[in-house]
Amino acid sequence: MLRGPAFDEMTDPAGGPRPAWAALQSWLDATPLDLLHRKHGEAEALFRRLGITFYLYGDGAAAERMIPFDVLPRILSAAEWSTIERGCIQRVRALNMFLHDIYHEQEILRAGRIPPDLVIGNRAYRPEMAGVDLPGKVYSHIAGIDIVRTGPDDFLVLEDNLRTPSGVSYMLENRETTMRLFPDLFAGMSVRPVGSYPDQLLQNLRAVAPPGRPDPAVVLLTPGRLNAAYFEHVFLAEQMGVELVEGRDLFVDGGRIFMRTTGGPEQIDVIYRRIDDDFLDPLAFDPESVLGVAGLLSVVRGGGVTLANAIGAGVADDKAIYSFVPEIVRFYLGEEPVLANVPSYLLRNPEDCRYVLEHLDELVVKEVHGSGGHGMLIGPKASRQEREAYRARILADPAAFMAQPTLALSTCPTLVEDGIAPRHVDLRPFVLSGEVTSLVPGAFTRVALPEGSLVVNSSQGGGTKDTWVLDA
Amino acid sequence: MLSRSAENLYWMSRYIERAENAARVLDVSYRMSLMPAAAPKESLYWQPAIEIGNDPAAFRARFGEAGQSNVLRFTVLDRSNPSSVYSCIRAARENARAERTRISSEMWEALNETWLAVADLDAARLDTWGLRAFFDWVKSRSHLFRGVTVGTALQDDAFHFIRIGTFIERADSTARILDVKYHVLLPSGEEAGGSVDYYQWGALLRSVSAFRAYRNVYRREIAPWRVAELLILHPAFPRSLAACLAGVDRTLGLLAPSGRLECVRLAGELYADLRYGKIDDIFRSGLHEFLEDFIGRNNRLAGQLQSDFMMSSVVE
Amino acid sequence: MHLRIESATTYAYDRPPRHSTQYLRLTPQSGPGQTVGRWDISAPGALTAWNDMFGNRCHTLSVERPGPALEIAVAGTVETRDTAGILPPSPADALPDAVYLRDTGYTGADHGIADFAEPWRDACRADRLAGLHELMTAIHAEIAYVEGATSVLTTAGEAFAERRGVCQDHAHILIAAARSLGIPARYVSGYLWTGETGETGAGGAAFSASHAWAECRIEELGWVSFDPANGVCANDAYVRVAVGFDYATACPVRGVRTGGGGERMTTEIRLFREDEPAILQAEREA
Repeated sequence: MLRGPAFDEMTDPAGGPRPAWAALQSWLDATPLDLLHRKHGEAEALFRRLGITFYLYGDGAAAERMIPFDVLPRILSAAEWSTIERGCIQRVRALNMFLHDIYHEQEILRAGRIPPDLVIGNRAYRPEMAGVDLPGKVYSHIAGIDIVRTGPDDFLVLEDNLRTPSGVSYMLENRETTMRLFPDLFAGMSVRPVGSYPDQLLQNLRAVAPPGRPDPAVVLLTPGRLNAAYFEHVFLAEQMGVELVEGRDLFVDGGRIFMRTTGGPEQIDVIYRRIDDDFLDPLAFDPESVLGVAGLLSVVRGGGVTLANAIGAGVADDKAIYSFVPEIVRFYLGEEPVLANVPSYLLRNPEDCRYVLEHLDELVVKEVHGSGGHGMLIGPKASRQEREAYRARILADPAAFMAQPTLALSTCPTLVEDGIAPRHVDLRPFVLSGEVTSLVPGAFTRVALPEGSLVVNSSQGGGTKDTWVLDA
Repeated sequence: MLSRSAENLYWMSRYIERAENAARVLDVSYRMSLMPAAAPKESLYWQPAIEIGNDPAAFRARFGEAGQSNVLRFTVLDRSNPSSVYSCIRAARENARAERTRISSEMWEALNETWLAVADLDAARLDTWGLRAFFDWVKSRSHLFRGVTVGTALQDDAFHFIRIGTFIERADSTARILDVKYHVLLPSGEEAGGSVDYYQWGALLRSVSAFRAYRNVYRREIAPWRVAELLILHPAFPRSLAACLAGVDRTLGLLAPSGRLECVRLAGELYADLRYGKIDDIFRSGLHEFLEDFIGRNNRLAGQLQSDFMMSSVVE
Repeated sequence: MHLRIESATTYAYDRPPRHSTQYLRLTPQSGPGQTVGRWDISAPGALTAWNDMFGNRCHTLSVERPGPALEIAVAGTVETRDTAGILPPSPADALPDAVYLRDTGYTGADHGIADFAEPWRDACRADRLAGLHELMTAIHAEIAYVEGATSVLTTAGEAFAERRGVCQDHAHILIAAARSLGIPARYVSGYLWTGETGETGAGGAAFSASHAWAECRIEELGWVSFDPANGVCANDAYVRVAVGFDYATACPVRGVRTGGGGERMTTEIRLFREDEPAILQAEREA
């Protein structure tokens, strides 16, 4: 299932297009390549003008970059989407229940279904949240579930992002762009709309406000202009019509949070924060942080404000917990997981560790607490020296690593220099939790642009595609 | 609106105005130094440009006696002097960048292009540019930005804070120019009203774009007390203290209609003194004392504005 | 022992800040070892009470433009009892014991501390209480009590390397050592009556800084206190105010200010013994 040639999402083994892709295929057959290249140029110009950029941190000063955009959409049939949707909703519901549990009764630990030290000893487990009751018991209001595909029906979850997942602005902007570039193609395919995302998000955020506030005020808290995802923060704040604030705009008084405005202080009820836990409150976490709000934790514990996502949600997306998510789904929902995990090896288990060290050339090894595709070893692509250097790191602290088989990620047709060629893709749908858990029919598709590359991270040369979910 | 946004916009306009005023003062110093009857000491022309600035002591400590090249280095190019033309343009642009969603794209582009043109400015480039051409360029960029602001910005609170920044900075600048120049220009022991150098006074008027205005208002030969009257009390001259404070007073009426804030009271009081003031009274009690007092009160008003709008508090 | 406690923490600013926010862990709670009587905190702003993750009674103080100085004063009375340092398990313990095994910036056990503690591993396994007593005594003997040699930022590893420190450092070292042996341990901040042995001021007041010690989890007993700075378990001379993972999470006053500059913090604490010491009573009766 996992090895061998990659699954081609558009073309079936007989060489014809799969049903969902037929319309695109015939459109492509009728469209000259230079038109596609011209459209690609238009799209880039548009993105540049709108300032859709992210920051890369390298050796010196931060550089502003654009994520490359591929003009050809990725298409998902209604049936495929239905699987993804059910699977994501199930997973996020279970993870929110898990989070509530581990910050309260810890039944799953008592039941022996997860080794307690994986949770309690985890840096992302925040004892500060112990015993705090959250509105709707929601911890991860916005979750990004990274999914890879290896076959017609094989959608596997690669990673959960429950802290401050980004990328949704690309889902929305990419759609705007493809509709503008290819109106006829779009109109002919009955693509389900994604534009209601900001409204749904705002509605959910207002729904989790502390009780007794009939017209709750929501703000988006950003670390500021130098953050990699600042564009997205500006975009979402504008789309929702809420203030984009920095920590210094807020202060604590009388168990509430206030925003400094020219008309005096205004009480804030819900903070959609795009700042990591560590930086939220210098009196409770990193004392050097200037991004947060002094006293924020006391207001959270007192129920005077709701943070989305909640402090401590990250413990559930830790790579060590990841392999227990199917168990978490079974424990809380009594259901079998709709979406399977990618098989993984936890190197804290001596058996797994031995197997991984013997098969380094076949596996992808990651740091358990890492993110963003940094510090990982892609065994088949690495040189002998790289593998040996990595082996030494593993031996120094095996528990800090996990491994997965090298997946043959599915491919989608992508516009490249000399034509259209298959490139590997993954999928990040965004799951919203408030009174209910839902997702808009769309996602952030990342594509590894270099031929043969399996790394889709935008910090490592990945691009994006619009994702079309068909109505039928 | 967010206090931080108001503060950014207010400082954006103060800084661009400050850059313009620095260019005006330097332009006059430069022109005067080119006069045929140039004084034996270069510092006579360049020292005022330092005195008008915010930190003459810092200059003296670093450079000693003022001359063309060190004054230009300090007031135009110096990255560590927060009031240099370079620093002002950078600060205006940084403040604008933080508020890109609150200003029109034309405003952003006007400031961003200005910044890009000076980002790598050094003494050699300034020389190639030409001093007069550079000073004219700075002034015209400031005019352009103001024009684009009036022509494209939504006239909401953000706009009002931008306007207030311009008025406060300009009032401060006019008062400083008048204070310093007046005493430099009056030969020692000379009574106000004695014979003076036409060129010097003409240059002072030009430095605040008041030469033609003076002719149109007075239709008389240039006399120091009339120059002071124009720059302090004349309601129709846009760089006069009275006109600037009228602007502050009017804008505050829009920002704080209830009028209960302390800054509204301070602005009203200061404006009333200018509106009903008489130049004879000002000279009787001393022009320098008057201007010094004005600069202090204008500063306190600026501080109160920040405190009333930009540092809000639950407890009022 | 009946103790009256007065303390004042003062911030003096060279330039007054725009805003100051403080977490105050200044309110002792009644329990097996102590009963709190009247207890007042006064501060130049509204105090909002809340409970932190350890169950400490905390207050958040938020002051807009506090001026050149800010004073937080505490006055109250506590009746203490000697429980041989034992605090039985209580429903107020909200956190799982395993959380107290996590390292913090202050209490990460470096090789020095871990190696030092290692010889007591077996003793602690056999009899945790006795083993910890020995470990505490060893730390007490090893680390000299020297005021001014360390600061509030000194970590356990740094103080251990220097072999000197104050009560905060002793407590951190014991906590780091215990955790390295797999024993949950926590930090206690409070007051210590030193009147009988220490310097006694006018009117029976003992001038003392606040004190800090450690508590370790011993399965059948609960939490047991160890004061490695004095080499004893807590008795009725100790007033327990707050617990935490380390100094940072248990300290009496922790603040952040925006704006201003040049800040100096001073704390003055006075303890008055209001019941008659038994020994004096005996003398008088004789």
